[in-house]
Amino acid sequence: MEPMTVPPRDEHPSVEQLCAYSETEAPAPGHDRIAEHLVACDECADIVLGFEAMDRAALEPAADHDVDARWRSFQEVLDAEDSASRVAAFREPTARDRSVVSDPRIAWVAAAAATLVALGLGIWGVSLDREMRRPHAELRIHDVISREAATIRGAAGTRIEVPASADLVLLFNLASTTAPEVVALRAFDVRGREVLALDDIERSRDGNYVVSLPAGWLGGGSYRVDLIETGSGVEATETTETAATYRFDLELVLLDAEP
Amino acid sequence: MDIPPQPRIDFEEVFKNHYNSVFGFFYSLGVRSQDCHDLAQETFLRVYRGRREFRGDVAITHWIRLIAGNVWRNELRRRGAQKRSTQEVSLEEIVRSWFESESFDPPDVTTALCPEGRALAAEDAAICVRELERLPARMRQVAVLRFAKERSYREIAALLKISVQTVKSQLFEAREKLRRVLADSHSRGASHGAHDDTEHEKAC
Repeated sequence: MEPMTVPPRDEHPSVEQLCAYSETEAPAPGHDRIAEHLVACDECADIVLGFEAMDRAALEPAADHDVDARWRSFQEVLDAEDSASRVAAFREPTARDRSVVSDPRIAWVAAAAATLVALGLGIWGVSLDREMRRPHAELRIHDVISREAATIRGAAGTRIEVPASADLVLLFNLASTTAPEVVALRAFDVRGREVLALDDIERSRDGNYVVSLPAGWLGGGSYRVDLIETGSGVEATETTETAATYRFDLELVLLDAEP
Repeated sequence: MDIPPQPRIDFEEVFKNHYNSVFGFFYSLGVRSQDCHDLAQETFLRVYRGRREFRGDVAITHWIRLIAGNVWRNELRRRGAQKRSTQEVSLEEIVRSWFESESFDPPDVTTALCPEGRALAAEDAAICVRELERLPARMRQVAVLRFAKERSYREIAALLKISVQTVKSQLFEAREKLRRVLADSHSRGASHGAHDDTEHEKAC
């Protein structure tokens, strides 16, 4: 005896077939096959019966809900849906949007705008490059070497403690490939008085400026030190836009200084 | 060939005119009331999204039915309920469950719970299956829907596109045929093994 079997899921009639079956009164081709399926398949049978229930429900007023209230609630859903669609339209160009972009007039305007932007970026880039090439007024590292072979390495503003009797050798490195060939040094005390002036300090091959200060030239205290670019006809005393000045603070502590 | 102009849809009117029927569709499927509203809303949202594709070549009622049906199938998929209907069910299994149900009450069928009674019931079930297979297709469908699936007359009529009166008459005829076959079988069994029946009654 061959068993009557329910067809696999893939062989369920489509919703469209079930709907057509439900709506057709007279027997139609394929109806027998669908009827046979409905006998065995509760899921499809329920859908067909649900379609029949739709007809009945349409004729009966619903007791437990207000359709107008449902519509007002649904309108909020539609508003959200429309808003989401508008946002999506910004994100993804539709076929209509693409056709607008392909308009030659739009393309010309876009090209002109791109050219202007590129030109602006180019000008800005050149000025940025010049700015980058200009020596940066920052002293990265300086060394203080005493004659007792003590080497103190630190950054600008470092507190330096050295024997009072030692000669000082200050090494300045500007950490710049475009550091000037020749600089002048000016040191000012906390009151702004110039306490030291050295001219024609040449940059060594390793990029340092070496300043030898005999003991006693600088007493203990805080100083503002300027390295001023010279060698291009610019006087060290001038501080102009074209003369780069590298400024830093130095606190010198003489350890064995006589009170 | 001229393309017919796309009909303008007053969506508010569509919603208000069809909300009850869409709600009724899901309600008839045994869905809770609040879930019916959610599924109805999902249906109308799809109708709204597809309103530009609606060409008016079919009734809007038909179009809404298709969408509601697909929403329901998706819901079943989501619930994992499709497993129930993908199982292959043999007619023999249907008849067995029919025998176990209270709706089946043919004469002289042993429904006792003792092993011998079960054996006789299984034998009767096999006879019923053979007889059901011989019934005309429509009569067999009515009998299975009524006794195994416990569908109402109205549901059977809707499913098989026949009248309720036809359902009743087909059912009556199917029942009578099964009754006669079972009675014949039992009478043959009685003449061949009256001694066995006596032993069985004692055992039960």
